[in-house]
Parts: sequence; C-alpha cells; structure tokens
Amino acid sequence: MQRINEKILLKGIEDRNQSSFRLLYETYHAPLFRFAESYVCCPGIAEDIVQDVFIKMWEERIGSINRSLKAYLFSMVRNRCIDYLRTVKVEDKRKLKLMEALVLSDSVDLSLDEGITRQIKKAIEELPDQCKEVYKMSVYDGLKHAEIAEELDISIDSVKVQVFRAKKGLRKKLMHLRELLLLFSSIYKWRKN
Amino acid sequence: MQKIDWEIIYRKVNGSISKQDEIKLENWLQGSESHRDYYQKVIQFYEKSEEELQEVPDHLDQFISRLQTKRRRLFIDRVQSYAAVIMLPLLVATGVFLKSTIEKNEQLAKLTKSQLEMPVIKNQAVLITSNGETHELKADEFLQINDQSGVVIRRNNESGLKYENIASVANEQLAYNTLKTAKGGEYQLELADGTMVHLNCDSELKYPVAFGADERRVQLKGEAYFDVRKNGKPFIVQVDDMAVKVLGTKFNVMAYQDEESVQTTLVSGKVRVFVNAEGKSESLDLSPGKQSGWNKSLGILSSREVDVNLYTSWVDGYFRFENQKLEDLMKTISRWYDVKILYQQSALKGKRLTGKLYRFDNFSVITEMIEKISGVKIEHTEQTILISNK
Repeated sequence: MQRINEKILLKGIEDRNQSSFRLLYETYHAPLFRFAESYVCCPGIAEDIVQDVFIKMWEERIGSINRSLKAYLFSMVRNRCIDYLRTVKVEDKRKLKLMEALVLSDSVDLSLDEGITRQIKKAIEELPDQCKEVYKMSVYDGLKHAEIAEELDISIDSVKVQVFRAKKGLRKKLMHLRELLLLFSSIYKWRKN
Repeated sequence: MQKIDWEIIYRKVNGSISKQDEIKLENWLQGSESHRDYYQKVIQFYEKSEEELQEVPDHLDQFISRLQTKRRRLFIDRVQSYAAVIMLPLLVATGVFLKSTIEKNEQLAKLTKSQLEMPVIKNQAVLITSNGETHELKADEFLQINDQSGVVIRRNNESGLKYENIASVANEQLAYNTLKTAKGGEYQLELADGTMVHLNCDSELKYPVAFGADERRVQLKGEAYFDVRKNGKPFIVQVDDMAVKVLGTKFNVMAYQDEESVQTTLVSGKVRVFVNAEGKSESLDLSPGKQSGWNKSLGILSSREVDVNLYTSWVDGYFRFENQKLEDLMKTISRWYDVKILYQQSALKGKRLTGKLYRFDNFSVITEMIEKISGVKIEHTEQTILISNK
C-alpha cells in the first residue's frame, strides 16, 4: 500500500478536491474491497458496502480523526459487514470471519480488536522462519515485494511464494485452532479482569 | 428466529460439522430464502482460488461521476433547507408573506460562502462503566467494551451505543453505567431492553447494564428523548424527587438544573409523573400532546396541552420555538454552543420569538438569524455573547 500523508489527504477531501478523492480511492479501495468480500462472502454486497463508505467520506466532512485513516475506513466497512450479516441472522461469535478478512486483505497490522490482533500475532510467530520474516516485512513494514527481495537477497518470485504461503498458513491456523483460541481468549479475559 | 454462528456454516463448508450443528444449520436455512441465498454465496466464496480472491472491481470513474451528481443534489437540498430556516422567522417577524422565488433568491444571495459551509456534527460523549473506567465516545469510531458480568457494549454507526449479551439479573446485582454528554455534544444509545435514548447536550444518564427482574429504572440529569420498548415491566425515569413511569411509549424529559421546572412531554402512549418531594406526594397522568411541569421551588406539578414538536425537534437537529422568551431560547442555545450569555438591559430577556433554527449551523449563522428576528444586537467573543439594543 502506498505511503501517503493522511493529514494532507483528509484536508483535500474536506475541500472536496477530486484528485485527493482519487488518491483515497486508489489507495484504499482494493484492500477494503477484499476485506469486505471475505467478510460477507459476496463481491456485490462488498462493493456496495465499500462505496457507501467512500460516499460517506465525500459527503460528510470528517475533519480530524484521532487514529489512522486506514483503521477508520476499515472499521466503517467492518461495521457495515456486521450489519449485513445480522440481516441474514449470522453472527461471528469468535470473530473467525473478521480474522479471515484481515488475512485475505493483507491488513493484519490493523488493530480493530485487541484480542484478535493477539491471536493473529501469535499465529504469525508460528509460521516457518523465512515465511514469517517475509510476511512481517510485507505486512507490518509495508515493504514492496521488490524491496523485500533486495533486503533478503532472494528473488521476487520467492517473496511472492512466501507471502502466499504465509497467508494460506495463517488462514488455516486461525480457522482451525479452536482449542488454542479458546485458551487465548480466556487468558485475555483474565488479564482484563 | 435463532441466529446462527458463522463458525457452523464454515464447518459445514469444510466438512467438519457435528450432527448437532447440522440441525442448527438446517433450521437456519429453513428460516428464510435470504438465508439460503447467503449460504450459496458462502459456498461460492470458498470455491474461489487464491488468485480469484485477488480480483477487485474498478469503478473509480463511474464512482466519481456518481459523486458529482450526488454533490449537486446535496447542494440544492442544503440551499433549500437554509431557505426554509431563514424564511420562517422572517415571515413571522415581518408578517409579510413572500411567495415569489425571486425574493427567496434575494435572501439567499445575502448569505456569504462561509455560512453555507456544513457544520461539524458533534456526536460525542463519555461513558463510565460499572468498574469506574472512563471511555471517550466519538462519532464513527468502532468501539467495544466488555463490562463486568460479560455484557458487551458496542458502538454502532447508526444507533450509538448498544448493550448486548444481556440476561436479567437480581436487583442487588445491578451494575450501572453512566453516559455523559458535554455542552455541544449529544449521543444515542440502546439500552439492554431495546429502549432507545437520545441524550441531549450537557446531560447525564445513569442506567443498569442489565435491568432487574421487576422494573427498569434510569436516572437523568439534563434532557433526553426516550422511545421505550414495551416488555411488561415498568420503565421509570428518575429526576431527583420526580419520576416518570411508563410501559412503552415515546416522550421527552427536560430537567436542566438552570430551568425553572422539569418538563415531561408525551409524544405517544401513556405516562404517569410522580413527585415525592418534602411534604408533597402526588402524581399526574399524561396523554399524548400533553406536557407536565414540576416546579420544585414552588412545589407545583401541573400539566398543559403543547405542540409536541416544539419540545422534541432537537432530536431531529432543530431548535424550534414559538412565542418563546429570548432568555429561554438563549439558554438552550448556550448549552449547545457552550457560550455564556450576558444582557445589557435585562428587559431584553423578555422579548418573544418564533422560528426554527438548524442546530448544526455555524454559530454566527444562528446569532445573525436571531438578530434579524428579534431586533437585538448580538456581539460575541469566543465564549461570551453580549445582547444589547440595536
């Protein structure tokens, strides 16, 4: 994802500057769409949700937000996804759907939910070494594939393979480790109390 | 209809579903056509390859042009609403009925660009949970708080705060939360029983996270609009020594401490207002369109017929007033814009005004409008307003 100056971008949107809006869309549309699609399992509804969020950004002057623009956009999309699932009487009790959506949209660095962030971090730590290293550089440091390849002195293709493997591994891990997750959430609750 | 946990659907798709869950799934599928549709979508989603999942539609150009048409429409809507806001008081003040659009346009032309700017909606509050933790609530932020006793509090875009996972509890175990709004802030919440509360600025509501077995009781300071969900148990709004008891209805309670009396305005249903002050204990039934007033210093509980809209339009974002004293109007306005009001001559306080103002307007728009309809002069620094003769 492009690194952009959020303040300037937000100001531009507030001033209804079309190129600012284009930049916003080009930067965030794809990850937001992938997130929403994995959340609601339907590309049509996902696109509606994401467009609704962009329209809101355009019509209502957000002014300043006290956290990252990315987190702000994702939580707006997430809330709409939850609302949609509610209309078909589906609830995501253990937030598995949320985790899958975060992994598939390469957004595991977002902390929308503290407990989930921990679970994902833990699962990343359990990936094979190189896979883990490449994935962290890609997701947490926001490095491009070419940058990672240069840094680690491997080919771009093997970076791609590792990222792909990491995502697949994470999806599997997060969706199947029921016992571990339960243990984790009870530790989390215990810590909160 | 029971909700289904998404995990059950996932297990079905992956072939690891238990017999018990299979039955739940079947029930859910039987429940509605939309559930079956959704299930098909889930299956299709999991049939996609990793590459297919990378595909993203690109409608940017279409989208931009859609925004532009929307923007034009919005602008027109806004101009029209401003026209209404300006025209109404003018009509009343001058007694002239201006019909032609030409004249309307002349009025509009007088507005400067800054006055057409949309104000920021102040949707914010502070929540104090039962263990004393304080959470700042801002508009459009996702928030989830786990209170003691496993209750989940969710901040929702549309409806504000919402309480979930609630089982009713014994009276002695009630855990209370408090929601506070500052001057200029307002907030909505949905209580454990589904009752909706719209809390006005500079107000405070204390309520149990889960209600007890025999009644639902909340405590209010300031002003709030209630839409009570009927569930057989009485719902009671306590304001110091006064209480409003209802079963299921819509009503507004205004109990700011700097106001002479506590006003309860009934929109629909039926409520009973109780007073239990020193040496006085009485009650009064209200029917829709009636308003009760409890004047504590005089010890008088009374009721009268009112235009309900005048007392509930704040919920929709307006200040409405009819033959109201300038002093009272300014009190309301000062709570919202967080300003102090000073009068050069106290006789000005008694001027009577009628009109409608948009609550989210810039402050300068509001003062200009009031100047126009009342004929007073309003000067303001950041926090103070001085009202004098023209």
